[in-house]
Amino acid sequence: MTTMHSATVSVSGLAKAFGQAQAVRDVSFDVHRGEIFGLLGPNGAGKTTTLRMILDIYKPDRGEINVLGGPMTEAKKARIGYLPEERGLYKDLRVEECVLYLAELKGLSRQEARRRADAFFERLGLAAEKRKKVSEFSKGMQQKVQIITALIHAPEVIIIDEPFSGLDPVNTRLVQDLLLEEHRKGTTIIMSTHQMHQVEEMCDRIVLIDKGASVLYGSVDEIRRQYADNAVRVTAHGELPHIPGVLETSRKGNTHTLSLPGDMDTQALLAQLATTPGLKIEAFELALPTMDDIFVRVVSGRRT
Amino acid sequence: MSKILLIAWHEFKRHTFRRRFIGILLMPLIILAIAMVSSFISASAAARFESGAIGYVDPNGALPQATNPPDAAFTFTRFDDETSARAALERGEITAYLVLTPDFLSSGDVRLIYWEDEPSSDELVQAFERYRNAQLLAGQPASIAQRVLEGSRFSFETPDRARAIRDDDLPSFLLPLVFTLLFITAAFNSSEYFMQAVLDEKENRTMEVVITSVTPTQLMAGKVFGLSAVGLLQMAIWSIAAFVALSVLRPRLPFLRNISLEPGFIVLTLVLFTLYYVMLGAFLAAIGSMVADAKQGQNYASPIMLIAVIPLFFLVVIWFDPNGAFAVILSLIPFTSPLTLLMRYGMVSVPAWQIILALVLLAAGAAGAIWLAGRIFRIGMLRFDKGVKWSELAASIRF
Repeated sequence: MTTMHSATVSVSGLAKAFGQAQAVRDVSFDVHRGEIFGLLGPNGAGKTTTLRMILDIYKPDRGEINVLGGPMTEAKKARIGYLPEERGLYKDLRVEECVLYLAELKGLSRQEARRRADAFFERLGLAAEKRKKVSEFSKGMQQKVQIITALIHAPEVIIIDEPFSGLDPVNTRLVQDLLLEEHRKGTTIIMSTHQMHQVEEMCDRIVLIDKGASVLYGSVDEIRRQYADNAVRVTAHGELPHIPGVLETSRKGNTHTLSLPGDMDTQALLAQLATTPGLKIEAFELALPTMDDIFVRVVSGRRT
Repeated sequence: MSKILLIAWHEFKRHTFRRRFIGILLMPLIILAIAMVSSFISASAAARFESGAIGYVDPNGALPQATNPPDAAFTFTRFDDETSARAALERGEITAYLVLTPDFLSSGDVRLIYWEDEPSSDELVQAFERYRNAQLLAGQPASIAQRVLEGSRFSFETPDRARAIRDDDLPSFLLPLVFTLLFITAAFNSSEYFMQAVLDEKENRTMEVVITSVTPTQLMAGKVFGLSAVGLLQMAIWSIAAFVALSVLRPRLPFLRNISLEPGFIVLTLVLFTLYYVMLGAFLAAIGSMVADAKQGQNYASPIMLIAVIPLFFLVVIWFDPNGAFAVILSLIPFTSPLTLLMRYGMVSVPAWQIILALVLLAAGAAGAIWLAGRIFRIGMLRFDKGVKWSELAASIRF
């Protein structure tokens, strides 16, 4: 699975076993520079193991990984920000000290780390409490601190495992905004997640991993089109006329979903509806399946 | 290297700026302060018993009255009969008197009569014997009298005279043993730090982030160096406290007067123990990576502690044959070398090659232990709830 784009991270034929358990058997994908890439899959699919292999925490049994133009090196680690699913901070340290230490480990000088940390504390509303011990912080506040530790060294690649797990809606929005801001700056973001609406909102492309192997890979839009049945969704005020050839019609409020035969011309259908007296069309779109639908279809299809 | 130093400094700060550590440091200082106060109180109390005017009744004139030296703790005054001595005691002119039997010169029998406070008998006996000997030797030439009074001074030397021990050197001779035992006790006490430092990373779930910034070996080396520095700082402060105590107590405790520390011994001790501490720390940190909690870690740590004190079980063998093959082998094995070498150092001349080889092996052992800890850490670091199996451990060391 190679592409014409310059791959910031490239994974090919990855496999890893722990004793008898084959956690990853064949995972391949490329992550392009500056995109938000989603790593999807059910629990135990091998997402976290794949991320850990990219980060050189685990050595793969088989396969090849290229990060920022070659194999992972110690120098490259400073160009990557990581927020693991199992998150934590040094509970006995003061928040500021904890952030500065982790930033220094990423290669920042003490002064630079302090300057950037202060900017983050200010922005996330933690400035007044930065001298408190981590253990005195609420879970939500600790999550903010963890995000700071992943971003403070301005990484070129951010790898986040389940970024929204355990977050309330306010913090979810906060993390989402921070990630989108990094994305606008050109940072490449790889995130593993279960939350399909976040994937639809944020990800450019995805790979779906099931039972340790990649089973679906590509851009979110392409995949949704690929899995779309030939159907249109019409939101309109008024009664829809009888349209010859339409196979099935379903309605939810003012939104109607019309299943069409493969050879039916959707432009002609739109023209017919637009000229129907008493019908005011608000929206007319291809009825694309949600990522949630696709996820369930693909994963349960492989189970049967 | 800078990341190792950063981690080391982080660990050092985390442990030394804690109340618990300050408590550990203060403990010997408090004990020292109490010891010094009690020493001064008891010294002033003892002064009553360890000095004073003593009479002696010498009916047959065995010991004529002599001039007492000006700095003598006890001064002696001769009485012809017990009645006049008793009267002097009642008047408070003397604190006690000795009654020499008529056949004192042949029997040596003496009775001590005291009023209220019994004089310190050992000090009094020694003082009286010096007074007696000086009297008996009064007719001899000064040089002979002095030799008899001071006795002989033996020294035990090797043929190459590389090492010489005087017979009044016993405290210096035992010092390595005492010091070593103190160090090992301190090392064992702080062993918990090394394991806990790794377990903390697991419990706090920080290690997955840290390990994407540094290598497992850098992390282990940083932790081991930082915590070794904590342990050595603790030892240094305790040693300084002990040195101050020794200086204060030396004039009061005769058996401490002959203690002297050779610079060579101090340097060897410092180097041996620094390397030993690093090696022990690395093994304990490796155990911390393997286990799920500190309790499980203690089970693994105990055998390592036991290996280090093996020389104590063979103390007698080393004592009687300090240059024998067994003692030499124990001097070279990294785990047992510090204790054995320092014990032997106090007894015999240890060949330089053995010291150098032991240091090289210990340094290699310390470096190897850090490397091994890094390997084990890599497989054990993300096992939050269960330990590492022995088979996994063996596999991690192979690649």
